[in-house]
Formats: sequence, structure tokens, C-alpha cells
Amino acid sequence: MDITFTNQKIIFEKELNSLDRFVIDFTAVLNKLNIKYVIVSGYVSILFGRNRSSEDIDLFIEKMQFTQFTKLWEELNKGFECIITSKAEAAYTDYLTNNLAIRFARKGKFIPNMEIKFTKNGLDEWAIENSKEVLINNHKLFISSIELQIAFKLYLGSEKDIEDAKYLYVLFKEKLDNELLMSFNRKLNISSVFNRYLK
Amino acid sequence: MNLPNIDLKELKKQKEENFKDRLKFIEMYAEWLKKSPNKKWSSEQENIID
Repeated sequence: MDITFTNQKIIFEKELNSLDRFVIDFTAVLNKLNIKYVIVSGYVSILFGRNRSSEDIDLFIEKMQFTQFTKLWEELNKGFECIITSKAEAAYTDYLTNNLAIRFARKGKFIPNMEIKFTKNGLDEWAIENSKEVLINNHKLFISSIELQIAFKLYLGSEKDIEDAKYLYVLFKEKLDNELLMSFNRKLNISSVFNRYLK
Repeated sequence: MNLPNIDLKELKKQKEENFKDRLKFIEMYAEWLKKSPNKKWSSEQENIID
């Protein structure tokens, strides 16, 4: 695997699949508007080669005022549509500010869709503040730190989640901050799961 | 219709063994990917996803 992995960035090139193109096109809008976000879902392992698909991608965005959200809504509606509600105000007031997700798909489609939530706790905010920049085929996007992604997947604990965690751990173990990973394992109380399935 | 006897303890054990088998495969796959050119593994991924 030809990849550059530093503290600040991960840089690599790949043949893009339809999920990659969807994520790149969507995050291009967020990048254009300088909105802070972080991708946290199974897509992180798919991005780096895990062979499974997904109906949706989970993404946190920074909390914002309605005026800024309206700009985001208008820009997104050029190529995407919200499949939860057609009104910006409902999306903001009934969903996002109530810690509920809204979903955007390409116009006329339903899947894949981007599940967007505001950050709601210290862990979400840490994920955004400590996100990892990825340059994939020169397209920029921000993902969760791999250490947090692994630990949180183990915390979620389904077989699919543990498989994703295992995949990322084996792929990146020489490059990870092991102290950070172990700290998250302890904080999320999953050290025994880590030792059982990943070590 | 008569249902077969089902040993839930045995099934649980098989489920765990299957899962560990899958984890071993994921480890093998990740190690293979680390040694493979990006074009190769990502073309194969594209065939599966698309």
C-alpha cells in the first residue's frame, strides 16, 4: 500500500468507487464553506480498502447558527437533497438541534446517504478537533483519528464493528499512537475486547 | 413439521469460531493489502462495491 501517514495527514491514491465519489463530492461542499466536520463511520475502513459497502456514512459537523446552516443547505441542494425533510428550518430546528440526524443523498437517490449530526458531547467535539486530514487523489476530507475509530468500533461491539476495528488496527498498527489507543480503550472500558480480538 | 434438536451452547461456540475465522481472514487481507499496489487492491474493491 503506497501511503504517506504523518501526524497531520494521510495521503494516497486509489481507484475510486461510487461510495468514495459520493463522499468526496459531499465533503467538497463542506470544505468550500469552511465547515468543520469529521467522518466517523464504517466508511473510514472502506476508504482504506475494507471490502464491504454501506448504505450510509456518518458525519458530525460543528454546531452552527441557522444563518450559516441555511448557506450549507442551499449549497448542498445543488447536487444533493435531504431525504428526511425538504425544509431547512425543520432540518435545523426539529432535527439537528434536537441531536437527531438528517440525511442527504444525491438528487433522485436514496442510498448512499450522508447522515449528519451536530456534535453533542465531549467525545464528538474531540473527534472534530483531532480529526485527520486525508488527501485522496488530491481531494481533501477529514476522518476520525484512527485510534479513536478503532476503540469506538470496539465499543459499538457488533461483529461488523469489531471486524472494521481489526482491519484498521492491522493496517495501521505500526503507525498508530499506541498510548492514545490504549487510553481510549481504558476510557471506553473495552480493553478486554481489544485484547481478545485485536492483539 | 418436526424441528431438529438445537444445541444452543454448541451453536454459540460455532458462531464464535466463525467470527474468529473471519477476523483471521481480515488480518490476512489487511497484510496482503499492505504489500499490494494501490491500483490493484482498489480496483478489486471497486468491483465489489460497484
